[in-house]
Amino acid sequence: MKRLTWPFFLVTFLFLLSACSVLANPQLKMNESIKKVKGHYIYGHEVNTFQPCGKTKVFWVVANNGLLQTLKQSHSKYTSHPYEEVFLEIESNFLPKASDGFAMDYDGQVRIFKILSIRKKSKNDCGDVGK
Amino acid sequence: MLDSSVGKNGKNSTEDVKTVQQIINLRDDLLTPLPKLVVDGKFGEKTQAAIDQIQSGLMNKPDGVIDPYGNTIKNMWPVEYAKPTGLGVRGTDSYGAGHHGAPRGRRTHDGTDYKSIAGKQVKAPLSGKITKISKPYLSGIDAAILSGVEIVASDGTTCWVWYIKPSTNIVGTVIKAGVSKIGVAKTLKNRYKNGIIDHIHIRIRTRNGAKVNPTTVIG
Repeated sequence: MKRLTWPFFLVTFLFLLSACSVLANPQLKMNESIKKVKGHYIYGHEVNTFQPCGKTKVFWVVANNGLLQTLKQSHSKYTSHPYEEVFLEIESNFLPKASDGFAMDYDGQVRIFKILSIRKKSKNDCGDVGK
Repeated sequence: MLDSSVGKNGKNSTEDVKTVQQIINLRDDLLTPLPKLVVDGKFGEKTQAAIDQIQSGLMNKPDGVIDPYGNTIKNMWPVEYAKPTGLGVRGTDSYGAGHHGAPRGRRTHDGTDYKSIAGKQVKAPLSGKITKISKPYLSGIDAAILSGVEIVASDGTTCWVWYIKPSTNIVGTVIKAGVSKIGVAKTLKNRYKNGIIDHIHIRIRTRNGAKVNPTTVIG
């Protein structure tokens, strides 16, 4: 009996843990998958946007304070003019269009969970996907 | 300013009755000889009498009801604009320029930035009602420290004023352009080093969502 009980409690605990993390972040639903995406990022006064490779849509960036700070500093490191683009590869999911703030002027929002790569923009950033 | 009609056979929701009662009290030039109303959102004989009195001064055939975007509300509280800080449009600094249409990455500046002095009062750029506290940024430190308001005018025009600290309990208040104080200007210099010009951002849309260059109406 003991052998059966332990795995049951472990599975229940892990399920509750994942449910709590979803509840703590209402914008992240269980069925929303986190994907690796490449594209170009712009940071500047009133601009914090990401355009995926091969797409015409532009998304407002949403992230925690730490990630936003890293993006801002990295953008500054690889650019010399306001609103210059840099290459960015991220783990993220896409959210609907915002209903307030500068974000409402864009096609949707992208929530970044992890920065995989950020560097100066170059011609070959998007490979075969183009831009 | 109104979601539904107020007056004879109107829906008379508490929020809309409050808005009408505020406007009636602000238009005492049309209300005389009747006394001002208690702004409590309750529709009764006194509010109806005030509507009738005001309509009799505005139209030949008063109907005793104020409809959203109708002639009565538009005449009682006309769409008016004013410069919010008394200062001009932000010029070019190390972070870009503040005029409508200035570059913003792959887009252009959708509003107009009016120069401001941190801590100084900001007046309403549009006559209407403050409908909500509006946030220019949705996440990060900026979301916590930068705020603003949304104003809706009698014809449905909507105006957002960002980078201010809104006055306390201002949501639901009827305001007059160039007269009503809506908050105080915040500095942006803590967030953007190296010389950004302090300013407030104004964004305007018509009732059907068309973009308006604020400079064309505010100056």
